Amino acid sequence: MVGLLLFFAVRYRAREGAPPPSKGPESLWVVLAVVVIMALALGAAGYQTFASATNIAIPTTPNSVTIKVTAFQWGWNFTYPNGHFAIDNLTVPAGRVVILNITSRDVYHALGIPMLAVKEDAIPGKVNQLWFEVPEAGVYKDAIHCFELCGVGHAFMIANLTVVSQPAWNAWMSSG
Amino acid sequence: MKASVLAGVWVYTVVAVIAEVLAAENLHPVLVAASAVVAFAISQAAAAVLFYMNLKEEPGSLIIAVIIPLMFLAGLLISMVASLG
Amino acid sequence: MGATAWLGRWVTTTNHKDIGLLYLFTSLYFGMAGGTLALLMRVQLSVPNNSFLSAVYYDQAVTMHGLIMIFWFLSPLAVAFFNYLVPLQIGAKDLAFPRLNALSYWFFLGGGILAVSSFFVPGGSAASGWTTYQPLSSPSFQPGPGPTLTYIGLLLLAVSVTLGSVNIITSILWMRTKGMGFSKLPMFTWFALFTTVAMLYAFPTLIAAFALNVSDRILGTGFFTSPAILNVPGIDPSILWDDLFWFFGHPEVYIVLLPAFGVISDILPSFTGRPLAGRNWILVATALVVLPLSFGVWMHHMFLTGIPLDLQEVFDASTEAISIPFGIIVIAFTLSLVRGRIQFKTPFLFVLGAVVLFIFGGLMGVFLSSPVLDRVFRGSYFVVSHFHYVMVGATIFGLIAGIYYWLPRMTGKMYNEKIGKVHFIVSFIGFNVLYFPMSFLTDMPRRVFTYPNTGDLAQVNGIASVGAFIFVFAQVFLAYNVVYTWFRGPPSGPNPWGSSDLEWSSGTEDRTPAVGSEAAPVGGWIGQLATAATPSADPPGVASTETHGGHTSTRPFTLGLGVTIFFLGAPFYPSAAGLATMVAGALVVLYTFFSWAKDDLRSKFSIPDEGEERWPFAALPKVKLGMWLFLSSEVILFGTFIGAYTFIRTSVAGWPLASTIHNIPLGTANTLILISSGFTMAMAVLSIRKGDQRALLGWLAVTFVLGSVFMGIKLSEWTDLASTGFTIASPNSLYQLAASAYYFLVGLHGAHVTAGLIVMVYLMKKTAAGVYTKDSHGAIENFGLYWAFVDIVWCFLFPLFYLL
Repeated sequence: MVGLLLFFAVRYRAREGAPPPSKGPESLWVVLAVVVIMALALGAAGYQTFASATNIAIPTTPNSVTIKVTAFQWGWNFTYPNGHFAIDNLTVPAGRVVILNITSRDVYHALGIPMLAVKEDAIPGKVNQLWFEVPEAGVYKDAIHCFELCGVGHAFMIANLTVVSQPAWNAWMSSG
Repeated sequence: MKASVLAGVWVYTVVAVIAEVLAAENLHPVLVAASAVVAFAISQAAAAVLFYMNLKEEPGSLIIAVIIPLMFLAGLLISMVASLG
Repeated sequence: MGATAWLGRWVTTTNHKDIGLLYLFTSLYFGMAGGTLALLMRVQLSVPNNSFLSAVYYDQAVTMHGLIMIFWFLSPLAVAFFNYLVPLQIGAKDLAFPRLNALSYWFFLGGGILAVSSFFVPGGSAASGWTTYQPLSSPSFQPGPGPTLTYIGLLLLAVSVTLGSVNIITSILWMRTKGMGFSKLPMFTWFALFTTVAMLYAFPTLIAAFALNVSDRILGTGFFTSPAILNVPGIDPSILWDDLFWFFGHPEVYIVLLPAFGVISDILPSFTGRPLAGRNWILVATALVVLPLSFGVWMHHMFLTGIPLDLQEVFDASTEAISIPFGIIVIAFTLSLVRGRIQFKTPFLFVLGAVVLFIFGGLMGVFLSSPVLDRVFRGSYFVVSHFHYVMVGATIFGLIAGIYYWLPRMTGKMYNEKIGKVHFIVSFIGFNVLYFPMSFLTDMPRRVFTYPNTGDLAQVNGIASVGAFIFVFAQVFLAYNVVYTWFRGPPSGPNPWGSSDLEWSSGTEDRTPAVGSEAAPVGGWIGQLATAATPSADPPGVASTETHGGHTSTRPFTLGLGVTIFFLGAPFYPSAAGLATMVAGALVVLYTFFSWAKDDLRSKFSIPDEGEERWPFAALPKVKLGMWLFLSSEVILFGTFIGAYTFIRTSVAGWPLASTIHNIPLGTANTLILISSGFTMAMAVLSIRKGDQRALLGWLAVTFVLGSVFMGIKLSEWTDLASTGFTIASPNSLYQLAASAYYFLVGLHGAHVTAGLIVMVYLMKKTAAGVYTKDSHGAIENFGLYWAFVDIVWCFLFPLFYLL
């Protein structure tokens, strides 16, 4: 919005017109006015971002599912609560908060799921968390990519996301 | 800058070093000892800058020019420790 | 004129205009190199699943593209303008330290040679992105001499920048001509000052970060590789790298951008026929907000690294705050067009393009300041689009405007307006075709060497690749225009733009054709061309013609050569070839030191002492000001190292206690010796202030003895420590890490002490020869500052390593 305003201001420019009269002062008032407007616009935008920042914080709902993710050169190891693990295939239940505990075994990676607008860095020796919730079941091939250069296999660190229904999830979890 | 002042600074720095050693050995817990030691170190540095480097007598603009990087440095160090989370 | 005379002129010059031209052409060359890498990348990315470049080569290309463009093209191009224009604009004959200026150039070139040579060694070049994240860029994951060569080249460049910024800041503060108060300073020079101040305080952190990295790679220290910290919960060497790198990295992008704003501010009035609107607002906004805040936003590059949410919000706020002064600046530029008489000449078109592109790019940056939005954008092509908009769009378009604008000043000829306009149109179109579609690719990761054929990836990438070729092709117009103008352009007259800035109406010594009246081998083909031009055109480069001593010197060149050779061999240490190369380089360096000293003893190099407007540093001698500036950057360097050490130390459990390793009484005694030498040095300065040469010699001698004893005891400490197994090669990883930190930092300090001791010998020799008097003893004062600094650093290192 602010950008467009400035953009049009750029467009509006004098061509051959009156001889140059100006010193500074009158434009200073205009600058001041626009600064105030900008500050308000920014303040609104800033408030928005701060308010939504809490979306990043991991919710503490009791029903959540936590999956451990270990990034490595060059793939993703997803370890499930029942101890099973899968490489490059993330399966999650629909309708429940899923929390990913992300770390790396070697270098810096970054796990990102663009369709869910979530992303977090995978740092060796550190566990970072992200969360999401997908309402309905579905199969999403190549939904997960690595977003930090991690060596020659960086472009191939791709994983699939499979969202299964609650009963299917429960069945799978209890199958040992 | 007078010789007596310089000598006084020297005596102070010697005392400060010895005080540091004693503080490090005898003060527990570690955080208290570390704070004392760092405080002594800063005081020695300040004395050296003010007197040996004559910052006291230089124009104020230079003093500001010297303080600015120190503030940046402080910002860096504080944030680094904070980013440890 | 013979080729050797021509070469000789360029190799020995210390004249600011010559050096400006050297920077200009060298940086354009590196720009072409970086651009070629980019084209290779775009060919590879033009279709999905391409096999034009393998991942190995692509990763090297993307890394070196970034490093070369940022460090060897964008900033040096700005430095070219600083060199050429700042002395002219302030009315000085040259910069404050001409030989240092030449040295900065040779270090820049040498660093570039080192970086590019990395492609030709086994294993290829650096491939972990220009951000060189750890641990990917450590020897464990990226072994080989190639990356090391690149990183050392970068260190050399950083030294070049630090020296250059000391030079330029001192010049602007101290060497202005009569009547050139700060209120009259041209906008370009103001921005030169802002940029170099930011450089002075940002680059030491870069040096620190890469020095630790290179130390790991060559000496085997464990800062980023030790098993005690790698993959150990609770310790993050990666975060350490992020903090150090981005503390530098963020101010760096403003360092790249500000010169372009300086150009825009300076030249806009010439095309609008009216003064700049809000001039003071622009200056205040940049000096008081952009500069300090640029050092306080860097963690927005680290939002996803797991730092606490509160910290993320702090940096969200600071980043949004920094967009306010930029808004003010853009508004001021916009208002400067109102009620003007605008001439749509080529420089103006590029200025307009730069501002428009900056608005787009800057807006994208505001989006990135939000931690929430960053989780969509991070690591994707949106970021790539953003920074190319500001770094290529705003910066390059701005600097190209400067090239066109000042070409008449540099050559006395006017460029071809039609070709210039074509250049602009094709560039602008090509640029947007290349980068605008990219901004939509939030789901394509950066630095991937290929991508699958899903969604619109193929389409967008294909369009972008076409845009890349259009944009690069457009630069042919620039090259043609510059070359044609230089040889055959029509005379431009002394002030084609009607500007009131000083560089168009310099003092008479610049106006008279210097060629022909002196015997010096200046000029070559440029000189001949210059004589053919109108008398008001300035022959680029002043000859070694001053009656008071020469203005040329081979020492900067040989020092640069020696250092480059030395570091060419360093990554191959300890092989025989590597050692031999290092020895050869060291010999050249030693030769240079001796020759430089001899030059000094025989006063073979002298520059006019000048500068009538020196507020607020009037009471300070020029070299002393330079020394203080240099020391303040060293403060940040050592401070960063100490910060890194503290970071590692406080996160590692079980760090060996100092009392179990070091001989504390001996260390304490040694500390007392060094601080006493600080006292004796201060007494030395006091004595020469009173004019007492003999006392000076005496105090210097005592200082030298104390300093040498300090180093002697240190060496014996080190031998003892080594025999107990406290070394960098220790199998105990905690000891190895502690040893890495100890030897590196204490060693760096020791190197500073040793350098001081060597200089002291030289000073004592000159004292004995009666050189220093009550009124003229600047070298003693300045060395006193240096020695006190070395003393102060030890005041912090001693407790850190021996007591805690």
